[in-house]
Formats: sequence, structure tokens, C-alpha cells
Amino acid sequence: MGNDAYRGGAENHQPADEGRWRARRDRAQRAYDERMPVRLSGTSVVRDGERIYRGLRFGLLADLSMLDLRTYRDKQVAATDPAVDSPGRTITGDAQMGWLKDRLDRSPSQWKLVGNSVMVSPVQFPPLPAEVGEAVDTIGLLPPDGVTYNTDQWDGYTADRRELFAHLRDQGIRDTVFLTGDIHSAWACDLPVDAGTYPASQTIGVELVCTSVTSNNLDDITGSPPRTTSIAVEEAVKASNRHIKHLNFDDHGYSVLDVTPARVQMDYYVIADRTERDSGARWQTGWQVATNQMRVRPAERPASRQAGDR
Amino acid sequence: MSADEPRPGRTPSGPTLSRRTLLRTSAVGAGAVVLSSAPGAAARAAGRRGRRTRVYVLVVDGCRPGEISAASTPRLAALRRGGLDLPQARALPVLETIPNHTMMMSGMRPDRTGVPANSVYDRRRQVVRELDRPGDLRAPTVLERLDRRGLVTGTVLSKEYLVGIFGTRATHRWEPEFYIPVSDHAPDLATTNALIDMVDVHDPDLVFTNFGDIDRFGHGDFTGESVQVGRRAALADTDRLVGRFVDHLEETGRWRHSVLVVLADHSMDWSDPDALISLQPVLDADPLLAGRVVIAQNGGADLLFFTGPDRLRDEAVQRMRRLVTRTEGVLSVHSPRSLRLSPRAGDLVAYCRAGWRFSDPQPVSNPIPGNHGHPATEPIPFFVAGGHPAVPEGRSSSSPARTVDVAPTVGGLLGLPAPRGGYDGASVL
Repeated sequence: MGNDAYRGGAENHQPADEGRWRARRDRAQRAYDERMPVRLSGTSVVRDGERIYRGLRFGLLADLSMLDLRTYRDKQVAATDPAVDSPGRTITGDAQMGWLKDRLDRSPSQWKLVGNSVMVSPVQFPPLPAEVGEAVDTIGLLPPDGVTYNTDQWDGYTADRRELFAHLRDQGIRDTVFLTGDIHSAWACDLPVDAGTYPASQTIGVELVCTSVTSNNLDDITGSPPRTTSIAVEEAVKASNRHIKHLNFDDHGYSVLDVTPARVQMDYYVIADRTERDSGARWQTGWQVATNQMRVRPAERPASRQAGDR
Repeated sequence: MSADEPRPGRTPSGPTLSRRTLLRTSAVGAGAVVLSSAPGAAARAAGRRGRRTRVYVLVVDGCRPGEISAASTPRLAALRRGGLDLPQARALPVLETIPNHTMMMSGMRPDRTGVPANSVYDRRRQVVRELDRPGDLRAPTVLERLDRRGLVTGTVLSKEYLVGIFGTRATHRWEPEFYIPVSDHAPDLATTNALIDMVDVHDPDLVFTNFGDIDRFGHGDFTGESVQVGRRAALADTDRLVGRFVDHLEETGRWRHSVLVVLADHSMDWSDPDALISLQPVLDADPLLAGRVVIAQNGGADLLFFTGPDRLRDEAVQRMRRLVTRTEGVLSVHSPRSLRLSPRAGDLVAYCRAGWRFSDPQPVSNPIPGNHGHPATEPIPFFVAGGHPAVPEGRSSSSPARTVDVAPTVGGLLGLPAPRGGYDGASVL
């Protein structure tokens, strides 16, 4: 549809050449409605509605709320713009925020999984090594100046994040897990109410982020050999953001989520070579959150090799 | 409680014979433990040798589910790991000690027990008071229902108001001879000694125990949420004492017949001194409400009582709701009925947000940093352990569990039918 889309446009949409944004979005949404296995506005009937956000329930074990963080959001602002904190700006839109809060509050299921299209964890980028900071096209993976937020993520709409996190805390909602993609890198994070006082202060849930299968990530962009310069960046990010426990900017692959009443675990599988059609894949790491803990911890082995894991 | 009223459960009654006999048992640890018993209880004990199942309900008052871990509370964590864990468990409104303990033992919600909060405004006596009298609890509990069927029950309650409200319902009661001033609770060491004595001397089919230290050290921990020096020490200490009780069950051969139901009655939330809500001045500033609203403060929940004429009540309640809703720090306002509370809960119930507390009638009325009563304090630890074959081994269940489920669980294990009108909860087994 477009890169980094918002309510009235997208970062790479050119009205002069490409026409009205609304027309482009409608056509994209129609294709999505007709071709994707989703039920827009809750039904499988094609063209009867355009609401993408929706909920899926897996008995008492888990509840999945799939968000639409493009259709209703305000336009992104620069990281230095105080508007990132403005209560007047939104990433969810009021109706979706109300729907999500209500769903999280009323869910009879233990694990409240949130299908979240951009990272919700606060990420304060530290000063980066020059060789990385000078890389030109970082596709949102790193901010161009290397010192501040990615404002396409929830970091650009902190009022909505505060509202959602406060709701989770006020209502005593436990076991919320944000499942995220978009950022071409693998992360596992605690979600602090106040990142400034973490780890002493409360957390309201965790976020597990899956990397890209083939899309460029940091070593592809900088041209460095895998697991060389990126390691310094990862360590610097983790040092400045102590709630971020796992970060891998280089590897490609996929993640498998395993849910039991006792814990949720994401296993990170990496592929050997993204240019090879039959590239092998191996388990690289796993991160899990035990019930009621709301903090991630490394898993000793893949979920598929655990018996009666508690 | 007024001075001329004898403390419930301590009154000799009956013209010729004291209602209970006092049994002084062997000294354990801190000193002699005195247990009170209903008449005829000793004779009954002889006739029930064949019964095997023993149920111990252990309430770790005010414990948060995340606080139980192999590192900080190894014995509780081991019990949880070995039995049935219920990670979705929640306490019920109002998130206070007395209503949740009475829900546990009756299996009924406060609209049936008559106990909606710790503290209410008693309209007849025109005073805010704690619900700590036997007559305040209007529902039957498993304690006396089992007793009537010839089984033996015991209460080992560390808090003075719990001893008060449960009165003489159990066959055998421990009534602490000493309460820590201000907190009005007996230390967990004394409670554990009494529990072990209760089991050794009377071997009840059901014992209901409350450990008060974790709650009391949570309320008073001025080191704040991030430090919690006292709280952590209390957690470790109570954990060790629960371990001592488990060891005792094992050493005396009781473990394989025992079911331990371990849970909290509510969680705990900490607030800074600047996160205070005082509703009394807000309501007194309104001409219709001035001098006509009494507040029973329950930490994270305020119960509001309109004391003016009935013809003004509807309008008054509307105004109260409007004024309270827009006060900073207030999370939500509810009618007592919508929370399944009895009319004794007043006209409105206000909840605070996490990290806040109510202080009424004055800003100095509630100086303690740790509070509960509001929804943030609903999640509780709740697990079933023990060597009894009915206890699932090493299982975790996503089924919802609530404090009101304790009585049906206990009743199911001990063959007790549901009370008239049924339970509001269900067995977790």
C-alpha cells in the first residue's frame, strides 16, 4: 500500500504522480480483502467493511488482538518534535483503543496476545559508532542521526502508549504479550511502566519481536560481515534501554510462538543464507515469559524439546 | 467496637457451662498455645479415625502472584510447582481482607454474605466501623456446616477482626493472646505454632489459616515499591514458616492425606505521598452534599454513603458520581449492586488508579503507602498442593479461579453438599 502509512498518506506516496491517497488505500484494501485469509469487519464477505483490527480467541488459554496501526494514525513527526508526546495524536484511533482496552479487560483467556505491527517498547537510541551512523538508508531500523527514537513506532505516539499501559496496570491485567514484526530485527523486551526507574519499577507485560526472512537488516545495510559491527550497536542499545534483553540486528529467519498455561515462549530460528531457496534453518535462541512475571527470560531449549515445561 | 460489648467469640454463654473448654497444649516455640473448642468436640474426635482427607487453607494475606519465586520464596514456589497452579486467579470486590475471607469460607459473594468491605458506615449506629462481629457475616460457612455433619474444623487466624467475624463457627479456634499494636495481628511465627498445635491436638478435617505478616509489612513499607526491605524479609520468613508446617505434615505421616489450598485474599499496590485522593472535601464543597456524605475508606476503594433524606438520594448519588469521577486519581465509580455487593456497601463505590490511594475523611487519615481495594490488586497467587491423590501433580491451568471458589473446593473434598441457594463459586479441582 505504501511505506510508513498514516491516516492521510504514506512516506513514499506522491500525490502528484500517484493520485489521491484515499483511492490508493481503497484499492490496496480491496486486494487485501479479496486475497488474504482475514475477515474484515468480522465477516468473510468481501467488500462489506474495511475494519482490519480484529480478535481471535483460543479458549481459556489465549486471546489474540490483531491491531491496525496504519489506517487511523496521525502523521509521523520528527523525533525532536514535542508532538510525539501530544495527547491529541494517536496511533490506534479512539475506536480501536477503546476496543483493545475493553478486550484486554474482559478477556476470559489467560494470555492476552497482541498482534502489534510496530514496536511498543520504548527505545532510546544511544550514540552509535560512526561507521554505523553514517550508513545512509536505514529504513527505520536505526534513526538517521543515531541518537533518538523511531517515531513510526509507538515511541512517536507516547500518549496512546501511556493510556494503554496505564489501563493494563489499573485493571490488574496480567500476562499481556505484544507480538511484533516490521523492524527487520529480533528483540525480546520487558515493558516498563516507567523506563527511567526500570528494573526496580513495575512492568505491564513483554514484547517479542520477529526478524525478517529476507528484508535487509543492519549488516546488509552497513555491508559489514554478519555479527561484527552490529554487536556493538546491540550492546549499546541494550545498555541504554535496560528493559531490552535480546536484540539481533543481523540474522534473518522466522519465529515460532509456543503457548502453555505456565509460559509463553518465542523461538528464534535463523536461516543460513537468504539467497538460497533451500537454505537450512536452526534454532538460535528462545525467550519466554512465565505467568504473572511479566518479564522475559532466556529459554534453555526450544519449546519443541520441552516436556511439561512449567 | 465499643467497650461494653464483649469481643465476639470470647464470651462465656449458657447458664451453667462455659460454651467452650480451654485446652492448653504443649509449649511450642514462643510459648503456650491456647485453643478454644466447642463442647463435645473432644468426644467427637474419637469417632472419626477412619477419615483420611485433611484440607488446610493457607491464606498468605496480601501476597502478589509475582512475588512467589524459587529465589525469594522457595517453599511456596515448590508447593506451587508440585501441585495445581491457577495463574489467572483473582480476588473479588471489594479487594479487602474481611470480604475475601468470608467469600472463601462461604462460597458466596458479598450480596449474600453481607460483608462487602472491611469498613462500612453503620447507618443504624451512625458510625464507620469494621465488620468484625459474628453477626456481620450472614451466610453459612463450611466451618460450621462441616461441624454440624460431625466433621472437625479449626480456625487459626492472625488478624483480630477475622477472629471477630468468624467467631465460634469452627469446632476449634485459636485466638491469639497477643496482637502487635496498630497492625492488630499476631506474627506468623505464633500463627504457625498455633497451626501445628491445632493439627497435633485436634487433627481437624479443615483448618483455615491466615498469615498476616506479608500484608502488614506491605502496608507499612515506607522503603517504597522498588526497595521493599520489610516486605521481602516478611515474604522469606513466612515462606520458611509454611515450609515448617509442610515438614511437620510429612514427618507426622499426614502429607499423603493432605490438600493445601494456598492463596491470597488480595494483592498490594504502593503509592507515593503525593498520590492521595481525598473525596470528603470535594463532596462537602457541593451545597446538596455538604455534611450529608460519610465515607468508609478501604485503602484503594472508598465507600460513599449519602445520609440526607431519601427524597434527595437519586440526585445526590448522581452528583456524587459526577464529582468523584472527575477527581484526579479516581479510576472508576460503581453502584454496589453492579459489583455484587450488599446495600451495606452504601450508595457508590469509588476505585483509585494503580499507584494512588484514598485518604478520607482527611488527607492525613491514610498515611500508609501500601494499599489494596482497587482493581490493580485483584491478581492473587492461588494453588492447590499436597500429597492427597485429588491434587493434580505439576499442572498449571488457565481456568479462572477466585476467592469464592475455596468453599466449593473444600466442600467437594470433604463430601459436603452445596448450601441452600448454591455456591457462587465452583471447585477448582
